[in-house]
Amino acid sequence: MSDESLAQRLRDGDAAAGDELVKRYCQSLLRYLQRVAGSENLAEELHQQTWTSVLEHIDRFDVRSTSGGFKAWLFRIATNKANDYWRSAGREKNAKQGLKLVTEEEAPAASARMEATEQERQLLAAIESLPDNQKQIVMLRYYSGMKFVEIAEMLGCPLNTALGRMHKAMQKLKQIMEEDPSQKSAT
Amino acid sequence: MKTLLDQLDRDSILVLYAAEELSSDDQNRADAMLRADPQMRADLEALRASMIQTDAALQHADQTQRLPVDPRIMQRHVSRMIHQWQFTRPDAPPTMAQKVVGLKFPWWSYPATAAAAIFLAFLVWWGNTPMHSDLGAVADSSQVQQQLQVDDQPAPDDNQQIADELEQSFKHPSHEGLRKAEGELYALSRADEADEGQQQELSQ
Repeated sequence: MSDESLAQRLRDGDAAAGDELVKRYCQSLLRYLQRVAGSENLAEELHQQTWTSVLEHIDRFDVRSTSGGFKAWLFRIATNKANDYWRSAGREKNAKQGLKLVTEEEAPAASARMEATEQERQLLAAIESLPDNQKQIVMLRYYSGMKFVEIAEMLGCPLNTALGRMHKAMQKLKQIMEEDPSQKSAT
Repeated sequence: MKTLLDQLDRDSILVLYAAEELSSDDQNRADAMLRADPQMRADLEALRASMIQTDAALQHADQTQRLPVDPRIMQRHVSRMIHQWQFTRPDAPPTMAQKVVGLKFPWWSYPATAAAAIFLAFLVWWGNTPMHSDLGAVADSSQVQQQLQVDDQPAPDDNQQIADELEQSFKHPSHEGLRKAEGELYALSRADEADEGQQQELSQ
């Protein structure tokens, strides 16, 4: 059954349809928020806020006017929640410092981690250092699986702008990886 | 006719090409551009490599790093939230369970059925009560029945009239129809006699 049919059934009061939607997107949404927020606690909080907002506004969800369907709508809400958080709390500076994929104190226990290559760690650090608007595009593309046209519409920016951000992000990552001595030694 | 490609700059075209999100027409045009421009081809390869590396790094990070909370716990938590919301939202339509145990037919069918039943009962009652208003002067139904039986029988005057007419028809055979019928009967009897005579001659 499509996401949109499930959303319609949820709107009609079928909680099982809501459960199915949560099952489909819980993990990817949580990962996205983890990457964007950089804080595990904050990601969990934003995740709950996102679903609360979905339930509050499900009556207004219209698949005909929402490019990308329910998934795009869900990730838009999540992105807005993350942006609202930083804006309302006046934590832009903190956000820039704290927007780490995994901060040192919140890093998972060593036993729970598989060994990542040095190159991948460097790349993750490079992604972490990207400007927020570029990182958002990279994360949305990876975790939502939406097309760039849908991402641009979701973010409310021209397609050229969204694609330009992606291009700059990739250029920057390439540059960082080429400059990194450990990467050179790895190869 | 302008396509998406006409609205994009070079870098954007490369990103969409690498992501394989161009339409077939635009893809063909981009292929032509790439064939004509070696630098553009090199940039495309570099972009592709970066995108693949980024995806691989994120994929590996997802496999090795835990989520903030166990997804199953999170699912249960959100599911509870949904069930709670379902019963508390002010404009909640009836739930699936409520729909099953609720009214089976539209609400208006119930008063309509009740009104129809009352009307039917009234008709039955009215049909079983003695005639009153319409027959007015006829007080007893037995009298009405007798009257009806009398009406069905012809009056004595009528019998007499029928007898007179029959008598007249016999007395005055000048009626055209009777005369004609008599003629036909006579002709038929003559024909029969002739047939019988011929058969006797043949047998002899």
